[in-house]
Amino acid sequence: MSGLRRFLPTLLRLGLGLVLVAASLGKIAQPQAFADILQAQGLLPARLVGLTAVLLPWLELVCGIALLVKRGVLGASAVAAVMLVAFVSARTLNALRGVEAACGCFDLDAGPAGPLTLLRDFLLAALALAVFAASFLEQGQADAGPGRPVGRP
Amino acid sequence: MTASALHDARLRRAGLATLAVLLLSAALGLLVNALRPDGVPLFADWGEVRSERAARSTVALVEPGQALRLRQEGAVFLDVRDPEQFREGHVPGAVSRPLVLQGNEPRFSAALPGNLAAGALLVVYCDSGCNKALLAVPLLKARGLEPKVLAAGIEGWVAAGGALEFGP
Repeated sequence: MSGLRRFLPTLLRLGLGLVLVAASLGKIAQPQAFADILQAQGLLPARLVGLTAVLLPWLELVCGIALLVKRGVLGASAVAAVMLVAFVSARTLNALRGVEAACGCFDLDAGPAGPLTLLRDFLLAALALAVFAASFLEQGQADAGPGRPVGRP
Repeated sequence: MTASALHDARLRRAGLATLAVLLLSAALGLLVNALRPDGVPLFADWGEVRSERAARSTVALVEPGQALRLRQEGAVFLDVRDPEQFREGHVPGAVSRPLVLQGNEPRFSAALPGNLAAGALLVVYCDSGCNKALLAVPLLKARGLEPKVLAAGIEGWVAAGGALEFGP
């Protein structure tokens, strides 16, 4: 049990990293198709769709790789958490508006995003926040050194 | 160093790491987009981009009678049917480039002839019931060509009095 607790932060970090890398590849390969999905979702100004379609997948890829190789984990998990919270908000908003647009998450040819997609994004956002918190605490322990108190006074 | 100072230092590091992730992602994304042939326009109105793309992908059909005249004017005919169908009869001088599906993606089974330059008269065909000629249009346009599709395919060609050539 203690072994699992010890390795849990690493497992969560690697899991989130893999998910982000997997999510980025299809969008990087087909930026026009991803831009079409963003346009269909109708949440961005039309003049920001192209820029978003170019930057977002690379943000996912860089965050994913950073998490996998344990470089800049605090920044990568923070960015991932913000992205995933934004995705959850966007899907919730579109569900309320009755907009049936594709998710644009992994498979760009997949059908409209449903409640399961929303649940998955919610869990991933929670995962990203957990990875950020774990990394923040881990750095605190490293800064404090062995035997010293951790965290804010 | 106090615990408070350590905490602030961690927050600073988190901020710097976030900035680094953002800058690296932006640099890579913009660079790759600038280098790739299918890069997207960054600040164009995407609604207009889609409309233009739809207009560009409109297929230009050519009636068989007009295709006969185009052949006399030196048009290149591209046959995208299977090799067996090509052997059983094709437009004289036509180039055989069977279109195959790889997954859901259509592609030519061999490279296109090198003499196909932008602006060349190009007519693509299959037979009357197939849609391979239509599937070939975006591939040809992606190479800068402006193909016309022979309406009614090889059957339409024969019905209009076009000659056939046999063999490979």
